[in-house]
Amino acid sequence: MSTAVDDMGEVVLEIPARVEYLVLARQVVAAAAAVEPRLRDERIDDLRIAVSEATTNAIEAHADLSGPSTKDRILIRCNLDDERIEVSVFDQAGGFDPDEIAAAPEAGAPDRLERERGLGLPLIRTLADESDVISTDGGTAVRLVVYTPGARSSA
Amino acid sequence: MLFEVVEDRLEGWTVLTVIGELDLGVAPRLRHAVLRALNDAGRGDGAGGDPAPRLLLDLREVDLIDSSGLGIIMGALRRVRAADGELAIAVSEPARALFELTRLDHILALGATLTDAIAAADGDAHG
Repeated sequence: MSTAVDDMGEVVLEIPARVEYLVLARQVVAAAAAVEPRLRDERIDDLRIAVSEATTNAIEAHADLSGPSTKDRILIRCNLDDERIEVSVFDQAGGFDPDEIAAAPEAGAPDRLERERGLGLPLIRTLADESDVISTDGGTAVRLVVYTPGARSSA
Repeated sequence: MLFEVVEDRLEGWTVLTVIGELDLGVAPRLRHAVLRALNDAGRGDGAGGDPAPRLLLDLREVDLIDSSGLGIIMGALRRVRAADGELAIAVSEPARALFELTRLDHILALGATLTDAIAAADGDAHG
């Protein structure tokens, strides 16, 4: 595990792909976001949940692989500027098709209660102002952005 | 990081009070507590000897719920419904906002207090 802050205002956190590190991932990103006084607590909470989802997906992707590996590390990069905070979560666990996961049943649909997983990406899309998922054979990168109030596209 | 699930009884309801952040790391503990509470209720030695489970989740001291937590709650609703029981959930404002955002507020009985949550569940059952 390592944390670094470079000259450009980027916080980089590398953690083992294990659930015990979810709290740390949320704490580091929330602390970075708290540097921007215009970000309300509610928006930081949205960001914490979105980061939790992205990191959970990464941990589960690694867990689905057979056996532990030295590559079972997740990288979280957090960039803050005047307009926005951008967080990217990278895993090294192969890829998946994000379009397949997006098709969760509507709330209230009879089969909705059968879904106890796969809710993470829809939640990320709802909570973040911007998000995308890039999946390759090597792994998946989830990028999410929350705008600072007063900057463009902020609600 | 503190995470706790405490089981109690209130007027025929089994109350599970959850404290902390509800994510994938602790979700199995809540799932286990829900299953045990429903199992006890089903045996008739739980909530007032009533075989239909009445489960009240007190989430007012939960600082964060992510989709792992939502999954456990939906699983609890499914199991309670399958046993002809009721599920009520007491929530803080941030948690309520998350339920509204995910539109789960349409299928869950939510209240700001234990009494409000029970009233919401009873209203659903009778309405």
